[in-house]
Amino acid sequence: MDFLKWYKNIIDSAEEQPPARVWEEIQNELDVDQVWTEIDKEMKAGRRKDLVFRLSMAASVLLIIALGTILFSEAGRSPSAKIITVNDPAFPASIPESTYKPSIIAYASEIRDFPRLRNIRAGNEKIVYTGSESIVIAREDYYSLPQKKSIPDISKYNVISSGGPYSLSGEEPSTDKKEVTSGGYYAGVSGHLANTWLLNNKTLQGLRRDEFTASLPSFGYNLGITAGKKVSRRLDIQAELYIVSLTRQNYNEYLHGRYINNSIQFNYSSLTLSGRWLLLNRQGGSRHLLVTGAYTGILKNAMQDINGESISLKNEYNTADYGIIAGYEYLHPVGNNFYVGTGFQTKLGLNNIFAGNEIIPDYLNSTRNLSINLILSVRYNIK
Amino acid sequence: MTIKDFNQESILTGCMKNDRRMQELLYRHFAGKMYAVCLSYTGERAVAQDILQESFVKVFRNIKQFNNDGSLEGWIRKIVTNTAIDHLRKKKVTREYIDNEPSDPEFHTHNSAIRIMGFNELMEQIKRLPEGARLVFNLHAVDGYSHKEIASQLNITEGTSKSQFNRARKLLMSFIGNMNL
Repeated sequence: MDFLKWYKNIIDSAEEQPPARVWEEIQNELDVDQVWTEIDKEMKAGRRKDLVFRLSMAASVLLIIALGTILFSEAGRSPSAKIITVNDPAFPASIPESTYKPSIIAYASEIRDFPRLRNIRAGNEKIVYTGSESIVIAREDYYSLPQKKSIPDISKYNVISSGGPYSLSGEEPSTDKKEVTSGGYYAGVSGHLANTWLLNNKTLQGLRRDEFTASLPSFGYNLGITAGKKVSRRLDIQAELYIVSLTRQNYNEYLHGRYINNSIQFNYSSLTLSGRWLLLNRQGGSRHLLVTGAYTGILKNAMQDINGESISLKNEYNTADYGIIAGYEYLHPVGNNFYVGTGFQTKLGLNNIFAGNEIIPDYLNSTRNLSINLILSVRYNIK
Repeated sequence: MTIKDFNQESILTGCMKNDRRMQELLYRHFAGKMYAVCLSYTGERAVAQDILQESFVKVFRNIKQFNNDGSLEGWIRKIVTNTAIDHLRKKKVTREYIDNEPSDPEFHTHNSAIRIMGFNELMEQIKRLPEGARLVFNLHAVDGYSHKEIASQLNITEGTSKSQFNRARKLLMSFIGNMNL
């Protein structure tokens, strides 16, 4: 064997493991590459995303305004019972004139309309009802009547009562639970079990299976008190003050050759204002409500837990958060003026809660809160 | 997957998707050999580690350019060699040559020193060569570059490459011959 062959053989067959530092440095450089790739992607998609976000926000605002307008206009409108006036040919001839003149003006043709009419209360006493004969009289401005002109001025007529299950003073039949239609107040407590997400590039990428980061389902909770007012028979306005509003995001991150457990936890105090539209009012007093509104929160503390070691992130996140809510709630009466409620609610933050740090400016790690909450509440009707 | 069941195809696919676990498997599979190559070019561990690091970053950045025509190891080694040349060129040490013609030493493979000599002992002797001469020697003796290619890479004449190679060979042989192991 000559020298060169001998030399080449030694070099080619040699192996020596480099120190671990080399791989760590390689990873760091690859991480930087990845950040730049993401920045590049973000910058390209930035304009489009920004436009989509602005359009979404505009659409949301328009939707809320439209919904609010509909709700408030509906709140002042009466139910559309089928009313046949006395002058209508369809008015039953079987009802003797003596029983209704001069007080009875209209007739509800379907018995299912009566539960709606029974809520007419004192102050609306220009309503007349003869229960056994299924006859009612409605105020002109209470119903949308197609034959409005045929209704006489009912203020001229006396209110009569012929007994039956409903009283003319507007009091509910004794067999049903009492229900406040408007002007009533209520208060209670509310708790949420919340599936919480911090929406940013990292956690969204972590939902893809081929990424280094794995975002995990995380749970928090909200505990607070509620107070509300009925502004109409169908609409309540409610305020909720959550003393504790805990959101979490757990994720695993592949770093330096191993997975590291991370958990970010925020503790807010938050205030929610919502409109609660009565979708359905079932016999027995149970209520189905559509809930929409807005919230604002104040960050009390923010912690990150990395493999069991905790650090504070308070300086890296904004104190204020705000957003919109939407959901559904079911209220079930459990006693005199008490209701138990359950349902779900989605809260979406509209502002970037990441304030930035020495390395990453706020716009490169734009972060929003999202939670899907299971509601449990108790409320008491005060009057 | 562990380093023991190295599956080149799946690792390459993973590396192309920037899968960090696959990148680590690829690195761990080739790092030992490539580190030895870096050491043979530099003779210094700290510099060899820098070259190794830079080389593997290039490997991962350009992994999509690897077509399965040749061996993956050969492709990575080419990157390591080129990175070493660039590194030494930046340090401006490629012109550190052997000025005097060494005398012809005797080299026998039955020499006891050579028979028990390992990589580390050889590195100690390689380190003693001027860096320019060491680079020429390795490029020709280990990586099989022709003198024309070396001249082009290092911006020297073919004659310089040939003479530096011969002088480096003689000097290294004399270093090894004088060793007492």
